[in-house]
Amino acid sequence: MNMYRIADLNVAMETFGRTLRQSEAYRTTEAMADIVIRTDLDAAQSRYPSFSADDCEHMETASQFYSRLLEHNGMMLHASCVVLDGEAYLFSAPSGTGKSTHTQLWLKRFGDRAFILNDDKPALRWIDGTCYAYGTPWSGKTSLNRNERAVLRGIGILQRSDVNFAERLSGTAAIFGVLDQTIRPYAKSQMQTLLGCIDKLVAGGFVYRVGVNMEPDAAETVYRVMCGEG
Amino acid sequence: MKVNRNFMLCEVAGETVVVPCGAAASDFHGMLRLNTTGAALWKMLENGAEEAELSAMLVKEFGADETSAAEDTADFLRKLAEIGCLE
Repeated sequence: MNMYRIADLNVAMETFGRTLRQSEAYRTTEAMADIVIRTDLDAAQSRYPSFSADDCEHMETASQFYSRLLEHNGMMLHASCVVLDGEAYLFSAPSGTGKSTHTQLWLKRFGDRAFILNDDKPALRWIDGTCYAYGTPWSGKTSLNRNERAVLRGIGILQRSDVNFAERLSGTAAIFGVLDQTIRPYAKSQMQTLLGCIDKLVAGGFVYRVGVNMEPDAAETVYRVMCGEG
Repeated sequence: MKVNRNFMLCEVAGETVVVPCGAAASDFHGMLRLNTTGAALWKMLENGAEEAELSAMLVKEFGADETSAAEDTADFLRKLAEIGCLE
């Protein structure tokens, strides 16, 4: 099995196609695995007959990695993650809302100061009390991901809006906003862990409701609120 | 009467919420938010309380009058049954 270093964890995985290509930047020579990923491709393909073997492999490996991530103080969020001046901003929403479109506006507005850490499924992990966002090989349809981490600055639950706005969310709106866009674990113990992660995000004031249009001004407006200048 | 064991009561960011786990998660994708009385009723249902015990608790612990306690209990149970929270 090949060994990868993903989200500061050693991951043993034998894979192919897109997953293998996108994992290349994460190769490591370390020996002890924190997470071992083994996919049953035949079973996956019978579950998702309309998907190619490549897509099934990508979904299966992602699902295994992110489930196990819960055992290591971390969770996945279905989001496009942009890093600006070394800090991570995640935008989460159901597919088709415009997560990637919005983070591309940040790249246009902020140029070299910004890059996409992961365009679809960044990992979040708490290490010594700090929450970091990580690039992973699982970045959805695009290969936009980097093997880097950045301190979490904010999570925007994204919706389309004629007028650009961002406001901090609390309580159930924030909890459900995050819970709705992550993998819901099957086991109660893992659900407990996930809710513990969400508790830290919401209580830490990281969660925002964000409404954006497709004008370049959207990036500036949201950034100012989330970085505290708004 | 008992709550479906696949639903889990949890404190998150100062809120009391109920989320589905296991098989229940594929039927119900939402989340319940309970107020103080709702949480108290839920905890009794975890231990299999009867409807009369629930409404008696509302009278005793929360000072409700008997008529509204009975109505509120019935209403609460009906809502739980609708989303499959009761066994």
